[in-house]
Amino acid sequence: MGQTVKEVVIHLIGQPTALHNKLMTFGLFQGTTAQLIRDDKINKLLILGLGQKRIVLRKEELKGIELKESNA
Amino acid sequence: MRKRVFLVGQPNVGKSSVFNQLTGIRQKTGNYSGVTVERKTGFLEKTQIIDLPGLKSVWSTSVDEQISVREIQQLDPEQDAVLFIADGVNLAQDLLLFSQVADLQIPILLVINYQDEVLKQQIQINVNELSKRTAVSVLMISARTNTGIQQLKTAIQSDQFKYPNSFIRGQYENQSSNDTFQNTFSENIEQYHQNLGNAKYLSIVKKDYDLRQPLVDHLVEQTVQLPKDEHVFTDKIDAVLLHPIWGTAVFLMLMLFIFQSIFSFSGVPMDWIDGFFGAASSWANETIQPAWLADIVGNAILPGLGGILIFIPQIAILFFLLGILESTGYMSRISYLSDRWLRRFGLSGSSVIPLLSGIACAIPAVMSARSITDERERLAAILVSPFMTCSARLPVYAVLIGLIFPEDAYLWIFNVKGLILLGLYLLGTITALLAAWAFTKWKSSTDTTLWMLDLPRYQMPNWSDIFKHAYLKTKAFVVGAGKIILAFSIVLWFIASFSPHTESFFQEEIAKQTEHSEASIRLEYSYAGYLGKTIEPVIRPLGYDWKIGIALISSFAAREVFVGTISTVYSIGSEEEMTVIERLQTEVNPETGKKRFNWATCISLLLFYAFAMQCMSTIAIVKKETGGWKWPIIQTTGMMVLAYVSALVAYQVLS
Repeated sequence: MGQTVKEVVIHLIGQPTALHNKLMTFGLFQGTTAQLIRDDKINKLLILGLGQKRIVLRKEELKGIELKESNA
Repeated sequence: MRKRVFLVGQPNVGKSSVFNQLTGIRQKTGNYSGVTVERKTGFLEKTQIIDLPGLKSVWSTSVDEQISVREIQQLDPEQDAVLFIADGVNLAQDLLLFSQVADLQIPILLVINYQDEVLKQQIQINVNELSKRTAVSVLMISARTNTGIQQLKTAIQSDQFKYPNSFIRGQYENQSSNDTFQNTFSENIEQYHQNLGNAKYLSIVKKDYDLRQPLVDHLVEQTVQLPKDEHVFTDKIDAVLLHPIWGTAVFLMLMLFIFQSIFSFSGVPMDWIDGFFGAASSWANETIQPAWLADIVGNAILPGLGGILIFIPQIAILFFLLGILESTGYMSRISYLSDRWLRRFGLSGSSVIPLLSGIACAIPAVMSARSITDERERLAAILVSPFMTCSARLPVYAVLIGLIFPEDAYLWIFNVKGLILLGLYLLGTITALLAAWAFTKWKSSTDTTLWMLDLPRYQMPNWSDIFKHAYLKTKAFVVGAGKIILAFSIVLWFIASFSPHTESFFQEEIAKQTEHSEASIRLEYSYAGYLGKTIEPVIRPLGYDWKIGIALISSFAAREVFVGTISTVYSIGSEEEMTVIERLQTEVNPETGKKRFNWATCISLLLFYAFAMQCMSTIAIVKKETGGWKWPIIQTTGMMVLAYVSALVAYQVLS
């Protein structure tokens, strides 16, 4: 209760790539604001929230993608 | 009335539940020709309903999604239509896909599922406005609670499919030849799929999304109102279930429960099936005429059928329990928790279910690999899951461990036999992981390396869907693998029952070899016996003689056959007061004068059975799932070579 959920803005860096395309199929576009639901340091995974959708990404595979905190 | 209606939608929108509600049990499951993607069809009156694989975007790259797109592109708008299923709770995501399908200009009916959840979460969807803006009929339903299903059936039967408004289709058609799009929307999709990874087409995809997304966002703004408090119940459960310690503990407890259930609940029905086929075989042998027909029915066909049908309880229970995990949304959490460990071996969290299922039986394990989207990883899971210690290995291990360790051997408080058994389970798991690591290093992948996972919200299980799922999967196993194992059983029966010798030769041998039973003598001089002697030079370095060779050959059908065959070969029938283990312990190697089943031979056999592909049903299912003989041949050869080499090294070192 009252806990602020961090928000991140997706930045797709450089020319369009297959990785960018995969992100877009999951609804993550350039400029999309997503909730950072969990930054799992042990499992090295991120859970992003898009509305009620929850999307898991491997932190080590985020090359070509930048996540900037929008409400830090 | 439409001839065919295709169900289209994202994964986890309840498409299969809608399909089940529309078609009932009148379903057929098969594969698309040439690929292993599952195709489910059924009928609503005279209209064929086709459940297409879940689709995230028309620009997706996985095989099953490409098939969905191709099917939609090839529809005949005069006779076919699309029933687009959206999740009312995540409508924004689903409307993006809807806009893509709408731009393919096919008659559509938009169905918004999970009405119950929408009401519960106080999400307001203006159905009339959505219908007006998209120009298609919109229906709210809940397949889980059977709400709105009758209206949906009526809408399908009264052909309420309409051509939708275009979103950005016009942008494709109005471009000059120098602009990005050049071709029509449909042509671009085709080109994109034929040139995966091509920079030009990746730019097209980006531009498509850039243009489409604001339009869809606007549509959502005008038609959907979300409650201000978006605190999700699922996140609260995930705080525990995805916790590195508590989440892992819950996962391990659940796995323990599943595998205990598979063994505990299947025991009685398996005994029934075993008893039934045993009685049927006796009946066939006693009553069918002529004798050769009785023999083939009673000693080949019925045991062959029994050998495959006995696994039905285990498979049905496994699929039922996996269905519950799937239906509640927990399956994705298992993938999440295991990804960290599996990625070190070239796999991902998606492979955990095939590997764990392999402990019960490799057949459902291979089938469950279908959910893996990365083709290389799916293949790796199919190829390595037979290394996991399946239930058929247990009787073989029990006999061999019993031969070398006494019943009362203890290491501190632990029973040594139990520790050896645990070691064999670990050996299977480690081998599977190392094999996966080697395979994924060797085989290049066309898939992007980005692993992404949807965590669907938690839901109450849909029991009707789960029962249907378990029934259909079990049926597919029986029909698919059953045909092949039956054919092999008949061949094995033939070579074990027939001989190049006459009956008078056998009578002489039976009279001469009084220390051996008739069954043993007949087996020795059968074609199988000669086969055993033929392979003896090859298996001798492993510490085996021709009799063990026969057991190896006969257990190629199924590992557990080893125990039955070795009992017959070593004339167990003539020594009723002795158990299998006691009899084998007295067997002497005539060349050395020492025990035949000594430490070295038994360890060699244990390793052979840990690694060898001694299961025709698995070969059959791998052939079915990979769409050809290439991978089952590579898999079987690889496993047999590993089994042979490890057994050889073990025997030579220990003897």
